[in-house]
Amino acid sequence: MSLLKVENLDVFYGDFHAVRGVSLEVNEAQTVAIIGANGAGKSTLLQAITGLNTQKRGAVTFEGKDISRMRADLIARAGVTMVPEGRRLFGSLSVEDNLLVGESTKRKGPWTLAAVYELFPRLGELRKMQSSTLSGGQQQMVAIGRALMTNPRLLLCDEISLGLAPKIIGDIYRCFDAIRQSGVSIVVIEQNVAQACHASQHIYCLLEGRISLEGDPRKLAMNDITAAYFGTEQHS
Amino acid sequence: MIWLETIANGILLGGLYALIGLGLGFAFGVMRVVNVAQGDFIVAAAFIGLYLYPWTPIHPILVILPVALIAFGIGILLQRLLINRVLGHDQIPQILLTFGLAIVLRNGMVAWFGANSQSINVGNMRFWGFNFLGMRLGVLPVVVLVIAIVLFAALRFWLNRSRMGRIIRATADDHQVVQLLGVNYRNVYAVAMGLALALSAVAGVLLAMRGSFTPYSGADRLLIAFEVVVIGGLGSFWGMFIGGIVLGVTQLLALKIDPSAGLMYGHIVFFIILILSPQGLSSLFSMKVFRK
Amino acid sequence: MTAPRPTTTRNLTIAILGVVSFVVLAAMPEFVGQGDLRLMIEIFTVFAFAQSWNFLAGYVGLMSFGQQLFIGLGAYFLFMTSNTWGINPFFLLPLVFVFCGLFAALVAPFVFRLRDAYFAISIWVIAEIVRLFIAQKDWLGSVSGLPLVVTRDMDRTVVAVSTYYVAALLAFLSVFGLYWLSRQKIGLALAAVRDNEGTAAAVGINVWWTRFFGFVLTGGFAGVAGAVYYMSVFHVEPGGAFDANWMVVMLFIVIIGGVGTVEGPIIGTAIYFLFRAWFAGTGNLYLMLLGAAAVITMLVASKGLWGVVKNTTGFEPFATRRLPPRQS
Repeated sequence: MSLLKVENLDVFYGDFHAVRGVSLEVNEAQTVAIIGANGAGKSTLLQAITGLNTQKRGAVTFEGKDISRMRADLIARAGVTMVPEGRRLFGSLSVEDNLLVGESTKRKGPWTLAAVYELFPRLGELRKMQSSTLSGGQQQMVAIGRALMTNPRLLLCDEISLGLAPKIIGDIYRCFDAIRQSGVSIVVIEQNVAQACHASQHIYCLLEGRISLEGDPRKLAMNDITAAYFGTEQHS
Repeated sequence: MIWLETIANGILLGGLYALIGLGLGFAFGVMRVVNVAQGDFIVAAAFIGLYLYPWTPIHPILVILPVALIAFGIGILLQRLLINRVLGHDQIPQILLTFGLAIVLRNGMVAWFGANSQSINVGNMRFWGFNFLGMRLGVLPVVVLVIAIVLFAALRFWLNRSRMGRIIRATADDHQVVQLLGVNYRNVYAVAMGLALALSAVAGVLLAMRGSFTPYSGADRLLIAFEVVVIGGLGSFWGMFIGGIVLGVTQLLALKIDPSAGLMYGHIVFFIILILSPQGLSSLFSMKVFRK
Repeated sequence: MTAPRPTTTRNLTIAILGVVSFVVLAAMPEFVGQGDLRLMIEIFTVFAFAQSWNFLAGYVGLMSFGQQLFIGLGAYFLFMTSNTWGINPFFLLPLVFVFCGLFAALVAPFVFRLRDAYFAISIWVIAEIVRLFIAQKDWLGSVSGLPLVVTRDMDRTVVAVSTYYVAALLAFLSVFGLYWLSRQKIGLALAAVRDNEGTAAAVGINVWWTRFFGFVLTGGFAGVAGAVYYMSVFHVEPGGAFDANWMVVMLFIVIIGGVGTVEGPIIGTAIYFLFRAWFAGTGNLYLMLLGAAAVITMLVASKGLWGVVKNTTGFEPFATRRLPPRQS
């Protein structure tokens, strides 16, 4: 059954109509990728789902409940969280304090400090460090760990590979299996099409705020994806 | 010796000034809100203290506890009912809102209590003194300084060690991201404003015990608080403490030299520091009240 | 939103408004008595105070809680120079502008290091320093203040009418001068800096100097207005001239009317003087009402009364925005 269902969603970013009539679905324990060029409306879409963006029309249903009018912190407590673009750690807090803020949803589940340190052993060694002093890859691990600490059912990841070395991106994506096995569905936003196709069971391609293509990445032709990504071809 | 004694007394007064600044600086550090009505809330707290101290058991100085509690409640209401409604990128609405509030509060107090000078009577303690290194110091000022230090340290400890303290620090860093983790930042802001007013209220009551106040004292209190925060805005929590002491010592020394000077030299010293230390001041804007 | 009228029509409207107000203002002394003339002077100068703050907050994007600094400085400079040299104060007004502008220019490098409320309060601190300084110095009249000596020997009617004309000019400039300025290159630069420093810098505007210009201009203007106000009462003392309650009045007028508009403070000034006429006898209650009105305006209509008028009627003669063509 579907965990998250977005129907006919319009989102505004200031005066800009960033997302236009988008519908999508995420099933339990599934990884879904949303790809698209810069400014296609990907981030705005995720912000609307998490409630950070409130200028929206349309339905967002999570576990059968409409969350489109819910406050962002209540959506998080219902089990939807996000790893924001640019990581946005609490820079003056230590690694462990960053993770512990994630407990604020008061949700029970498999993700505890110990579980996060097991997933990212490096963080255990760095737990007393101030988070702003970490490297980009380490910061990304803290950001993912912090989100996991909320024990979400649905984890949204906004451009987690941006600015990171390929090896580190590989490390991070490898953790996704463990996360999914704990019963968490994942939505990733990617500019790297190959990475997105590799990591997901279903992709949506956004072009100028609309979905230009969707389907199982293993069944889609690379040409069609590229066309949908750049909008180089007319499609009806 | 008389000069040393003046400096010592300035330090004792400065601790209290630091406490006046702490509420303003804390609220700014967490919420980027500058509550212009802070000075008038300080005076209002002194009036509450004035009415409560006759009923305070054990010792009148304990009146700071109920006053702090009341101020905490008022702070929460203030944030929830008023300031939270005008939060946004633009700081002007919140500043103007609190400015309007300051005017209402000040003139309300004049209408209610009259413009006379008042003081909270702590009994004989006011006259107790002791000799220290050849200086004659008052017991009350020392007690007040100790309370100020304890409150500074307690706030630091609580922010660093408690769950709520951690959430407050996180919210100060990024009030949007905390929402993704299930935190309602508006509630956090309300708690922070409650704390800010409670700290200021304690300062107000202690000030009313050491000296006198009128409903019009709020403007002076606000300027002191502001100067403490700016001088101490060298990026640290205890910087504010230093700021308070600088002001306290300056003021008492100036009064010794020129009894008609009042607060002028305090203002001037503040301005000189503003001129001399652009570096320290610029760090104010990325001020992390909570850093070591 | 209504479509913007063509610029030529708008310029014509402004020109007609300008000529009409000029004629009305110029003819006023023929029709009103001396008592009313004094009230008009007060209204015009207070309006000029309010517009100087409005310009700083709404156009330059710098909020100050110390605008009374320039009111007091202007008044004291005028009284001191006129009394010392025995010069007709009317001729000194340009010098007042220069003096107050210079003072603003001198403090700007320091206070510009502070932002938002901290900037606002730092100007207030300067006003306090100057007030306490003057109150201490006998040669500045100390606490009891200074009289204006020179105008004593002049014809009272001539003084009153002349003062009126200067005040009327200030009010005229507060409307049409402000409008004109906001349409100039520097006005657009100011708007850009106010709205977004980063973007303004990116398109080649010098943010610091633009702010500096605005701050100096508003300081000089408020100084002249302050000088004219105290010329009309022939006496100045530090407690009154540097009174923080001037700030209350300015804020009330601008907030109620609508910050960042030419028209708003006109409404605000009218409401303020009506308020004062009705409630002046009530003392503190009247000030409480001013404060409460400001709080309520911030909560329900942060754009002020003029914002409400504009949104409901679409009427905006002094619009400085250039609306882009609507996107479909």
